[in-house]
Amino acid sequence: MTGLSALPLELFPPFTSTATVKIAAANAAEETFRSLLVARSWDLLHAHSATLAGHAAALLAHAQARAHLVARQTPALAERDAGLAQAFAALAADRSAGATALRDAVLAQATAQLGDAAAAQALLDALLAGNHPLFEARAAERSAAVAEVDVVGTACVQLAVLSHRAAGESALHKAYDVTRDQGVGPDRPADLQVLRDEADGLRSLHDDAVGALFAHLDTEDDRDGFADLAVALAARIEARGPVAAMLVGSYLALLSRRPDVQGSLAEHRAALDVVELVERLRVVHAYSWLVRTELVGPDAGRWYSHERRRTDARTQPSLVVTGQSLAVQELVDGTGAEGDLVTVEGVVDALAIDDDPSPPKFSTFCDIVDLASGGSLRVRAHMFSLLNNGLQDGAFTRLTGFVRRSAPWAGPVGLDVDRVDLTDLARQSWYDDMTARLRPHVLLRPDGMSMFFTPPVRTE
Amino acid sequence: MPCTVELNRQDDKFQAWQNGYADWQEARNLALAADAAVLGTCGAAVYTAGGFGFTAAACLAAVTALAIAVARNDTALDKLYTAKDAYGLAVRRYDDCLARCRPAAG
Repeated sequence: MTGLSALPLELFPPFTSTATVKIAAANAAEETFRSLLVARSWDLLHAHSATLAGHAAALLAHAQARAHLVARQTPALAERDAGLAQAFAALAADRSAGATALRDAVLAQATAQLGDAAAAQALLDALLAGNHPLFEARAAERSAAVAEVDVVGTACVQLAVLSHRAAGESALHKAYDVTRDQGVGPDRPADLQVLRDEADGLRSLHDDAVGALFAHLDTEDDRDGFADLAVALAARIEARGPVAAMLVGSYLALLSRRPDVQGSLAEHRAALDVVELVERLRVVHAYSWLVRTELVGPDAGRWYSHERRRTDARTQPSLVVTGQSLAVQELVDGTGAEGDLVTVEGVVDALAIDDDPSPPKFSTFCDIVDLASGGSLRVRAHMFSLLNNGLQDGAFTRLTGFVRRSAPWAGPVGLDVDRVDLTDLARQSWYDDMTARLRPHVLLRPDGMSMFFTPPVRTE
Repeated sequence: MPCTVELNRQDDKFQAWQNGYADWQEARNLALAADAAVLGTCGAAVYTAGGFGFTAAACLAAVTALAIAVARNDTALDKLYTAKDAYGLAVRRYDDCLARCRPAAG
């Protein structure tokens, strides 16, 4: 033993080999999340949120320890690589009989150990030429750590995101169920202001967070400061999100006590604002965790440098286009020409997948019912299933699409839902780039469908 | 249940990564044992740049054994990286599916 600095602490129990064990446990927890979500087991999902958060914390701690240990080893390994390389270089240059005997001894031993004379000669040649892995221990340890932190870090972000999502989903749906079961409602005028205040608070949090992240990357060069910012933002979003979800869940239940949804456009719009902001904040939350995990790894410096360069040719805001905002009735009455991009709001009805005559494929069709006028509009998601994305009859939606006035499915007027191409927008917009990169963890617009929607409101 | 195909693929690739990880750990432990043998035979100066030469046959034999162990560790690492990349892709696809997974209609 050569002292504490040379001890391979990363191999000591209980750290030994625990990356795979921790990932296996995280995968099992992820699977439990899926089962509970699909089964609508809100109480269990709420409790499971803490389990998911615990896994995220354990994975983060593992990544931090692994990265710290490899950094600690680096100087010793670099010296060792240099020492061995120097000794073999001297052996290669030495033409004495003694050195020849030593080289012959290496060849004989390698032949005996490898059982292959050619491989033994290749080994000796590589050692004498200085291009054997023996001289690259520092690089090998570092790349092994980078690879491990990559797997562990990805799992960490995913588990943190699922924990937050479990808390939010369970809060929203449980609050809806409990409020419905209590038989209170319908909503009162003052309730609308509560929702609007909540939406304002969430919008401030979202805009401030996005602005702070972009500004930091754009104007500062402070890796630790950026990590601290990410930690703070994640904590703020984790504290706010579930409460907002609970509030909107209860409010939707109150709305469901109305005998008729007609005349409640402002109320549904306020609810959808909160839902959309909760979803947008999930993206920021996921990004914050991505920053946390990336900045602990051995490649943190390079990652941060790349991340800072992402602001160079990109503007901060999203470039997703929404077109002109129109009421359904305005479209029915003739506003908007064929092919115009417009945004409408309304309640989803008659949602179904059906044959689409041109081209012959299946598409999703539904009606969007205007809550101010009662008018309705046919909508098509061309060759995509909105049902798979969670849309249901009774949901209130805000969607962007192209006006169709002569399509066979559209009647007098219809809308083809626009498909957002984040890959393209991400080249110009930092927000869209962030949203695109985090798609595996948080999907802001499933299938790129340009729409947001609430859970369904079942009226009496 | 949604995402079952993606989950099964992730499980398969995880198994391969786990096996690769175990193989690497085994090769790494052998390399560390060879490393300890080098230190025991040659002394700590072998890992210090400046002036050390292989004048002792026993030391060089230990270093040769280490070189072979390190090369095997390197091979195990390459296999681990391949398995890790495949697992990473499967994880991405499963996570992607889970992100779009919604509660069943209530």
